[in-house]
Amino acid sequence: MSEETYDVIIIGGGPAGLTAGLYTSRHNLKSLILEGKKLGGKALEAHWIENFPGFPEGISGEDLMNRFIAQAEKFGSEIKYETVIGISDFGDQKMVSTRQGFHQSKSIIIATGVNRKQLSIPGEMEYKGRGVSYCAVCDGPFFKDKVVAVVGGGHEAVHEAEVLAKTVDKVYAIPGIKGFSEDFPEISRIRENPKIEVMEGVDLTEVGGSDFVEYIKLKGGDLEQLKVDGLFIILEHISTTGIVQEAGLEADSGGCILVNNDMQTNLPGIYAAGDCSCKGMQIVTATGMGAKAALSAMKYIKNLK
Amino acid sequence: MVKLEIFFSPVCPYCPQARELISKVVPRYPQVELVEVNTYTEEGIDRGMSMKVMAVPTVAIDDEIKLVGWPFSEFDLTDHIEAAI
Repeated sequence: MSEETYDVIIIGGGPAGLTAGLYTSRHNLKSLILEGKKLGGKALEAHWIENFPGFPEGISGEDLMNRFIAQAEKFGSEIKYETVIGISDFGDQKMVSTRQGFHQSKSIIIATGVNRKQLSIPGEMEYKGRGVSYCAVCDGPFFKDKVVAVVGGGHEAVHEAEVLAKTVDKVYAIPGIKGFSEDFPEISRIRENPKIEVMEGVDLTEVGGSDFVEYIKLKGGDLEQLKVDGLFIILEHISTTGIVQEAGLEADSGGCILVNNDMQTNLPGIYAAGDCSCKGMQIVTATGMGAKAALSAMKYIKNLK
Repeated sequence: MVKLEIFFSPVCPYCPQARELISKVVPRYPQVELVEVNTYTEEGIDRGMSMKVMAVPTVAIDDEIKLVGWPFSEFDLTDHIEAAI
């Protein structure tokens, strides 16, 4: 167990967590950012970001996140690569358990983002890595000049269909029977893209082939089967549901952590920011929430003293 | 000499963990040559496609795909290495 007590432990090193770290460390709070995978979070996978203010020409997710990391580190945020497995609230003291040990702090900001979700259809696991993928920007280059389907109705699925269309021969964009989650501008862009065919009102029921993916099966439309070389499953979900529940934090049925306007959860001194609170699901909204959570944590700590 | 290739991408969130584990395990086997293939380069993607790699991270030993995706354990890795040497 770590001997020192941090002012703030930030769980998650994506846009919300790094912004929170920038704010807290800049105000001389002893800040620890815990990241279990790779700093930058899912924003790293964004091929090109056109809607982050201050970058009129756009910027790659990797470049933008490297700037976030540099800025958080510049002001003294400590970063550890540890996977969090539990949060304990002892009132004025909080404990964060990781696979490597324990850390204690006065406050916690949860900024764990969202993870990819499986579709759970026949063939999905069998063809994982053999045509079934969950990351277009990671695996897309392997599908050059091929035909792929992208399933998902969220902003990210639409974005990934656009990214893939630059490399592959054809993209079938399948938002699912519920359609697109909201009306964002990229939807009209993918409808106009000659390489993308949007297939609404259908659901995927199976993915299959021989050694590699060769087809997907559909229900709800005229076509029962489509010939494809790849299937990209781009669905999102909250990854920290278990930890949140065990800590006694309130969440909705989808696992989204419930917060008030100050990003305060139901437990004093514990805040949530970014996609894990299911508000915005954008880098710019995540950064705003990260800053807000940091300001709230500062106020909370000041009142402790 | 056994050739172990790790296909990775700089934007893949799980690749750093796979590369870290490999960099820890491979030096124990002097008979194994580690080749890191960045699939965000022209040569890397050509090499991957020639081997029918379709996802990162992927581990291949002597031109044969052994492990696809993350997680895989140290045991998975040593098992494949020891079978090859």
